[in-house]
Amino acid sequence: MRFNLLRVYSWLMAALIVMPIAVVVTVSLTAEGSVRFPPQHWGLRWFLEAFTERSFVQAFLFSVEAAAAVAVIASVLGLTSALALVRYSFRGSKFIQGFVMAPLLLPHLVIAIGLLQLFAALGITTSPGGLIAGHVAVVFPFVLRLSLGGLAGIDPNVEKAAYTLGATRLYVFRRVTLPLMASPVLSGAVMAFLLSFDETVISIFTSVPGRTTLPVMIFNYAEQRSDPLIAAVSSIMVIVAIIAIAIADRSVGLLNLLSGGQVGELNELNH
Amino acid sequence: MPATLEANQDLNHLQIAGVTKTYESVRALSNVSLVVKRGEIFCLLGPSGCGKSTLLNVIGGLITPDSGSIELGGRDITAIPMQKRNVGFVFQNYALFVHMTVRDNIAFGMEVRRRSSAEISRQVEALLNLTRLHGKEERYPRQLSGGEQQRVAIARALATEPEILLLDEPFSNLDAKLRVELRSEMHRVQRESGVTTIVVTHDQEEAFALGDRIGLLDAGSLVQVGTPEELYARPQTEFAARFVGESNLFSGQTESRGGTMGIVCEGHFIPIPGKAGGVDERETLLVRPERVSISAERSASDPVFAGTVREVTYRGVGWRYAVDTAIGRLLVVDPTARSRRADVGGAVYLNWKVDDSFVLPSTAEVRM
Ligand SMILES: Nc1ncnc2c1ncn2[C@@H]1O[C@H](COP(=O)(O)OP(=O)(O)OP(=O)(O)O)[C@@H](O)[C@H]1O
Ligand SMILES: [Mg+2]
Repeated sequence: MRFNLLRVYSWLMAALIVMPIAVVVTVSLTAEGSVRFPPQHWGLRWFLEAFTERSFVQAFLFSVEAAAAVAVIASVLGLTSALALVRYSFRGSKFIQGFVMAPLLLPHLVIAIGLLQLFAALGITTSPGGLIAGHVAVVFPFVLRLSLGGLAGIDPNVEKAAYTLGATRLYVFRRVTLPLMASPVLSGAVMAFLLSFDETVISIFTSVPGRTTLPVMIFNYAEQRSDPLIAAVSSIMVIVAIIAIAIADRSVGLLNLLSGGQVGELNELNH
Repeated sequence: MPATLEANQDLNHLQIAGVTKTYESVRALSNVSLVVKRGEIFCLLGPSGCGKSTLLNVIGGLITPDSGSIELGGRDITAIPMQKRNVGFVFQNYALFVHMTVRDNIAFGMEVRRRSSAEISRQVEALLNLTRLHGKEERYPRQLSGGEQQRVAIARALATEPEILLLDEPFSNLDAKLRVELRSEMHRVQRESGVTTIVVTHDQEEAFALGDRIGLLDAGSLVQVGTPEELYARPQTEFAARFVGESNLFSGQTESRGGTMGIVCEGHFIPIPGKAGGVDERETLLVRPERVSISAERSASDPVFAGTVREVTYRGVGWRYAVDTAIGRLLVVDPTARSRRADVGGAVYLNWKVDDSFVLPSTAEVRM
């Protein structure tokens, strides 16, 4: 009985999450000129439209580039910070661990406004530099968490064993620590990419015309008009996310990792 | 041919002098001095928390001692980091590289040393032979049994031809039967490679089966070093007597009765062997359970004590009895008997030869 209730509950929750996405995708598949749910006539017209709209294509490409940069920067920072915090635990390292988690709690709006003022004071151009910096700030806690988790899963004796075999620090990092960290780091990179690709608030504040991300583009467009083009572009964003997760899951087991799977089991990918 | 003097120096492969290590409040090692001979298996034996692992880690360079020195092959290595000590270390959990094949695990140390690939292949081949891991070289650690993983750890540690092989409780993760099997396997590997070896264990039986010599640790101090026979027959302290094998111990003041020396325990006179010591000194006498004979009839020779059987345990090899007597509860092991000599509640006589008992030499020291 309880089991069945739980099942119903799970399905309801899943439906709640999937429903809006389903509606958007459905709406985007209309052949008509205006938004109607469900559509009377089906077609890929608005997708073609989206691909021919130069500003959208440009924004899409910029979003991908920015997200890729954010993923790389955040991963390197996440891995190195985790190593520093765990392997060379120093006075206050616990405090710093808590501190870098702060962006998880702060409204992105606050971070965005803070960044804007900081960039103005430092004379930094907001896009792409400021935009990427802002994104890194908000995705960093997620990436760091994954790296910390991965590092905690490595037996310190394994590194010691490498040292007793004569290896230098750098050699141990390259041949032992890094390969063992591959899956959490790659998972973190994919997470960072997706979060950055999705990020709207910070992007609105840090975008400049011509260097605007897709979500900002959609936001601006939706303010003025409401035709199925928005739905089509949104669907494309969903598809990109699904593809990224699918690739990551096949190669790294992202879902497994996010749902608490064992890091040690995932190391097949190194060969 | 090395000169005699050189050979003698060579015999003492590892020399530890006055090593002390304190963690915050715990004194894990206090003034440990020890010599390990070239080519022998030396077992560090002691109860949990006595400092065995700490000492092994100090030798391997994984832990820096507060004071004392370590000399390996005539070279002072106290200040040398673990990367440069050329020791083979086998961790309790093996600590294999899970992302590498058996072959790559074994080759790791040689690759660090930039050996040629031909040489690496040859050495890996030799070690696979030695540890009987042939056919498993392309597997990953998680595709191996516990026993195979342990052998990979040993092969990996031996690959760089270390000065000394250090193993921390290498059998503790294996089931009882495999443990005994791998023990003799390890013995063979050590004899074939000839590497000086130190094995940490808390299991006396294991130490006896493996060790050429044993060092017994108690609360951070090395209490006795000797061959298994020495440790069993002539323990130097009460701790050693209790920890190594089963024992019957009696303490009392010495007295001379009718020309025989003995101790008085619970008001009863127990003769002690040889050694005309002084009268009225406190001594502890050890009688191993298998030296005590049990029978329903009183034997002619002293010492004899009457008692009542409280427990009888069948051991496969004979029986073990717990018998209450006037001088306390005694353990008796009767390995040769075909049938049990008494039942629980039965009245029996216990007897042993005075020469089969042993007076602990350092009772006074320990007591004070
Ligand atoms: N890093 C540490 N910090 C504080 N105390 C420690 C540390 N490592 C060991 N100790 C203490 O030092 C003592 C010796 O520890 P050690 O690990 O050498 O014992 P051991 O003989 O190997 O025990 P076991 O058989 O349980 O492995 C113990 O009392 C232990 O609690
Ligand atoms: Mg230990």
